[in-house]
Amino acid sequence: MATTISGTGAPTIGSRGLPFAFRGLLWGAIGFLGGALLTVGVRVLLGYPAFSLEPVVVIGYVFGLSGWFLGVGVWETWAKGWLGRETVAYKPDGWRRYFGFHQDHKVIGIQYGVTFIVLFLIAGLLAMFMRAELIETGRTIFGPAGYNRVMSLHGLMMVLVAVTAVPGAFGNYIMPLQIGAEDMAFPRLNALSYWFWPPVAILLLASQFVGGWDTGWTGYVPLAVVNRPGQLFYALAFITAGLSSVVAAVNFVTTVVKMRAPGMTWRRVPIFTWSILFTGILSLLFTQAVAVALAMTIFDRVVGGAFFDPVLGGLPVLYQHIFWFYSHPAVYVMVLPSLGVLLEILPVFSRKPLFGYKWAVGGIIGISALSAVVWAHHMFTTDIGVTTKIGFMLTTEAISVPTGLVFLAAVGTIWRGKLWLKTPMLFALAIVFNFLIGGVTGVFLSDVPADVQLQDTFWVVAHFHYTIVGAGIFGLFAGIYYWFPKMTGRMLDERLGKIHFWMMFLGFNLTFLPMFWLGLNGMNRRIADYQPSLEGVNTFVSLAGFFLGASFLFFIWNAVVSWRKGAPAGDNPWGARTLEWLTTSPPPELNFDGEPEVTGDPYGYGTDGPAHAVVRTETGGER
Amino acid sequence: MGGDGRRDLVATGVLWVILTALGEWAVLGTNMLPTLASRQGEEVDGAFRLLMIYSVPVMAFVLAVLFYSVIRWRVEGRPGEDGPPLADHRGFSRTWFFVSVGLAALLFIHPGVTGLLALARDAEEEPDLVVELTGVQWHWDVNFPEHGVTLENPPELVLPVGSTIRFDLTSTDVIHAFWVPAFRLKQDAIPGQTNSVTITPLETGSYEEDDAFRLQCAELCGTGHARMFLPVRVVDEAEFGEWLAGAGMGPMEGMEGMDMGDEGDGMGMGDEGDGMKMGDEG
Repeated sequence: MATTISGTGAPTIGSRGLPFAFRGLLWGAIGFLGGALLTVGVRVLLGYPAFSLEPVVVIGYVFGLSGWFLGVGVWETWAKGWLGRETVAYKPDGWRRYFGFHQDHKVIGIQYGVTFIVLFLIAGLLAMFMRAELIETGRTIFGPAGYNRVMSLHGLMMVLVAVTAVPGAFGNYIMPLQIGAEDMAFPRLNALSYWFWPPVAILLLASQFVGGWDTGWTGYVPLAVVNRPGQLFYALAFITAGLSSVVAAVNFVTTVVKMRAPGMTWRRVPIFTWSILFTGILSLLFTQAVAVALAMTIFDRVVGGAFFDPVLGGLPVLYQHIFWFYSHPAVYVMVLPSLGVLLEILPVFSRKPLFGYKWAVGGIIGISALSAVVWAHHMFTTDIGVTTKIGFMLTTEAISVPTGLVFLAAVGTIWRGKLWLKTPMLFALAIVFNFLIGGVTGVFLSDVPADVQLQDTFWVVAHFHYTIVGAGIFGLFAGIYYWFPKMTGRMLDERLGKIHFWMMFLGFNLTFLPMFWLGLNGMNRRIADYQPSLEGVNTFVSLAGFFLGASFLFFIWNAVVSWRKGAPAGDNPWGARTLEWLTTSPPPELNFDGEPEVTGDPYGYGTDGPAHAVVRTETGGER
Repeated sequence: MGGDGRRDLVATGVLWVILTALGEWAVLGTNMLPTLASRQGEEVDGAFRLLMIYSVPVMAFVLAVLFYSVIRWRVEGRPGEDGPPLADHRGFSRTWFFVSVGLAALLFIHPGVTGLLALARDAEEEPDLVVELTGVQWHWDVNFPEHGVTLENPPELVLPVGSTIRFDLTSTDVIHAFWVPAFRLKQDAIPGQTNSVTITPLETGSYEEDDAFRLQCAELCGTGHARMFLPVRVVDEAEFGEWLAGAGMGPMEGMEGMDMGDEGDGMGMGDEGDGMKMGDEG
């Protein structure tokens, strides 16, 4: 199968035949069947009934995942080396690059970006179905069981999108460019982190064939122990996604710490790279907790464990502690990279230095540190005791201080700037607006006396959509409009971009602002039906939600057409100073056609200081 | 921020004041909250209103800078020159930091800690009445232990106005949560443990007149979660006594209305509930 590209000498694979992703599916299926048969065999030997769905799925999945990885290219590019045999590189050209174990961070960034836009659109479509059910009281399209299933799938998919899309796409593609590196520190781990995702998608799809699950994305026990088998697929999918996060996080942290170009001292690190560094640290430190909580759930479900069964001495609330020990830091994993995108874009389109760079970096570090000690604010109604409540109220309200520093940097940067309102800038400014509402309404939830009314109502739904969509997803699109030219070499259409922006911004606010009122007035969350007095506002919210959904059609159209036929971008269409703009669009295989050297401030707009960086070519030229 | 920027500072300040005034007018002039019918709820609403009042100037400040900057300094087309190199302003940044620390500390102490302690004190009060509520997928069982009255899946929960009532909450299956919007407080009902919440109803009312009077399950508990609510009727002491005496006699009419027994246990794949209209019940 190995062929040699003339001139390079190194053997490569993947240029012909079936794309490796298909072979991965085949090998994965073989692995799954092998694991399943093994389980059945062991059950028969031990005298159990031969078939039981959940044990067969768990063991089958472990083998299937191994088969998948080997098939998708780990075998030739990596595993053969463990056996002392020669490994080869996966380096096909064209579209085939994206369908196998390619280790270039730019390929992986595109893989992540496209995959997660698709997942985002599917999960968004599910939200359309949810709003259709809620457009009036009573059964509208699928009733309570169907609603709970769709709501749960929407929730988990969107959480995975929010956690992964920005670091996956831009952390991979842009961050190594920003620090002047040739690639990530561990290219194979990088590819590994991406190829965890197709199994996650397959699990989520498969879960729907066994009835789905109905616990929302949080999977609270005991419900998650006693409900349908779809819950098992939820747990396996979430754990697999977590593995991807950990693997990616090791890579991000190591890359930022060790791979920076000469001259890039910590004070010259671009703010987006700072946000990716701390996103990585959070993922690395906390993701194991959610895997623990879900593994305990699997034990309780599959082999009769009793971690959470009170009859056998288990403790249901324990799950929530472990789950939120990860899942609160996780919301900062969702938001920090987008705040990095925000503060990266504002100086470029204001033509001013990033205001209070040190304060902004301090804000990112402060948010990260405090995020470790706020988890129980999700549990103020579980009887955790007055002293504990006071402690978590203190830490939670304290997190408003570092968050405020991000706003300080934002408003200070646009003040007296030359504001160039291109689409990326519009998205960035919208983040300031949305995240302000999201942040302030979060203070209400941190306040125990107010929270006992608001907890588990649509106030919470509105609040977290204002942070995670209003900042996180708006940041994803800000990043796409900003870096698409670098990644594809072509500009997105400005007119379609502005239509997308205004529809999304208005649709978003009209959808989620009324939800605060709904929550205050007795609409609890995760319900398929509600009191008749809330019908008018719900109808309005649904219609606004459909409008919001329609905005993405303009984005899809724009992205597909522009990728093929957009105006050529050139190296630096926005006149930015950071290193990713000092190379071609898209960059060459090793990113720079020379040695980058960092010589100054990344945001020195309007100053006489030296350029942020220069790229010295072998022939003596400079970029 | 430089002498030539003085007019901009003043204009932004004026905009801030105007936005703050408008915001406070809206916050103080409108009631966004549903009917309040409990003493403990006053603490909750007080905290909510105070937080709204504090929020307005904070939000107004950021919005004033945002709106003013976009209107004042937007340029048509690619900017020909850079803006002024304001990389930081020590006084402004420090002020911002310390004001935000001060605000967070203020909110933590009041309404945070003060409100929490007030609610905790209320919870320790000797109750006039104890009601045991057990969440079951997907209804509430009610027990008045002091009166020996046990109601399985009753059509309504009747409570006396003016009495301090301690609700002891638990569950037989999954986690449910106690929430009567008119009473404000929320507390989880968790299998294997008993959590309490103390409420003193101050107003009479009923679900038929106002849907804030309902015991709504507020923790996702499976297929029947949305409809797991029990109409609440707050009546005077005498009427409550009569009702309790009657309730002790035997089953009451209207129970079919809330029965959800035909929905199965949620384990099956197609057990979707029938079309439902909430207002028709009770």
